[in-house]
Amino acid sequence: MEHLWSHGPCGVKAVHRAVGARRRITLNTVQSTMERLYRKGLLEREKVSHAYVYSAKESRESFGARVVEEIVSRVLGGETEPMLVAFVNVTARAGKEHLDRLERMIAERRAEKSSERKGGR
Amino acid sequence: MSGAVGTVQLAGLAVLSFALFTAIACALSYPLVQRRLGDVKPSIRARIVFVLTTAPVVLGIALTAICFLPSLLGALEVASDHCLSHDDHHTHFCFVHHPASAGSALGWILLTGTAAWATSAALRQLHGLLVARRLLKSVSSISHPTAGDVRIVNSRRPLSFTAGVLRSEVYVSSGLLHALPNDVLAIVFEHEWAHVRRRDGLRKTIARLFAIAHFPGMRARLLGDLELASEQACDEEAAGRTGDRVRVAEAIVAVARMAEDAPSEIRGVSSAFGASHVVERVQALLDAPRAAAAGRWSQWALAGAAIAAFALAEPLHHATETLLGIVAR
Repeated sequence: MEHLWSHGPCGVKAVHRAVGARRRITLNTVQSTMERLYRKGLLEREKVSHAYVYSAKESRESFGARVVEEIVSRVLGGETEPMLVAFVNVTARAGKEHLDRLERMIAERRAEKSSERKGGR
Repeated sequence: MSGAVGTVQLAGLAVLSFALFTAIACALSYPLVQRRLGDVKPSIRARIVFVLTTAPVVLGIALTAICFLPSLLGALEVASDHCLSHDDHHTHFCFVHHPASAGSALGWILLTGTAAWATSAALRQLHGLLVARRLLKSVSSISHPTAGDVRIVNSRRPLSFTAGVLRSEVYVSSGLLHALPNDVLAIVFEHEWAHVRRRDGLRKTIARLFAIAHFPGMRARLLGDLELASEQACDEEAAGRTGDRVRVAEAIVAVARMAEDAPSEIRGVSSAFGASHVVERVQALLDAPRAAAAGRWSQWALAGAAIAAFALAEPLHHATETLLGIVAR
């Protein structure tokens, strides 16, 4: 993915030369991986002569943002619940009426403290 | 050999019986205990609820070990061999004088069934932990650290949480960072660092595992109360460090309001995290702080328990042998 984002549309051999050979990954492995990414909808391809030329379907930024949101959704969905404590449980809604009442209570307490300070002077 | 196996069965049945009695005692007494705990400082309340949550497993094993004490003292020749006072028909719960048989069929069925259920429950917990750990690794990889021991996740959602069991880390979303003023952010961070200092991730993990020995309704109640007490304890620490209880209450309401007002696709699906504790937390902060319990009560309680264990070992041992004699036959 990184290579395609950096260099634009490439064939399997070009990706293998740039990435696979350095990591001692065979051409077949690079080809299967790109085929899998295509089937997952992350790559597009076009047949040029006898070989496919692959390109990334979305930009690095939008892909990164999507991955982040998917992970965060899984966190909010409770998969990390066994080892997570949140400042406010954002999925268990407090309810607008409760929050309005709490804000009124806080405002009253602030007003009491302020008048105590004025009375103390 | 068969006698030793019989002793293993008796030990297993003893653990099971003590755990069950403790779970029943907790279920019957907790409504009264819960009312009294309302007047206790949150950090102490969290400790008490944690002890109650782990009580059936801990007491099941501890009381069984205490039952073996007369046998151990007899073997070490510190006390007389208590088994000489038994007749031939009395069940021996002793690792020196084993019972005549390898135990009853009913006893093995009971133990095997319990072991299977406990193992299955423990494996489910472990699986949940492994999934959580893998996902947290992903969260860590998509976040970036700051100088202030906080990791930032690029997300619009209003998130702030502490995650991890042995080594906890604090995470906050960029959405929350941009939305809240600096003094409120300081309160949020103080609250999360309090969770790290208190090792609440580890405590929660142990509590969830040991709580399987409670009845289901009791389990949910204890874990919910533990969560609330832990959150309130961290609110108190944040209030102590920032000097303004009302501002901490405002911070909680501000973040809850952000979550309430967010579109549903940003807020996320409802989960099994537990009920929102926003109302209880804010009301506790607006009330006067609870006074701490006088003196080192926990050390005194432990010392008292140790003395009671030695004093009650002999009668507990005899009572257990009598009960096991009925069950094992």
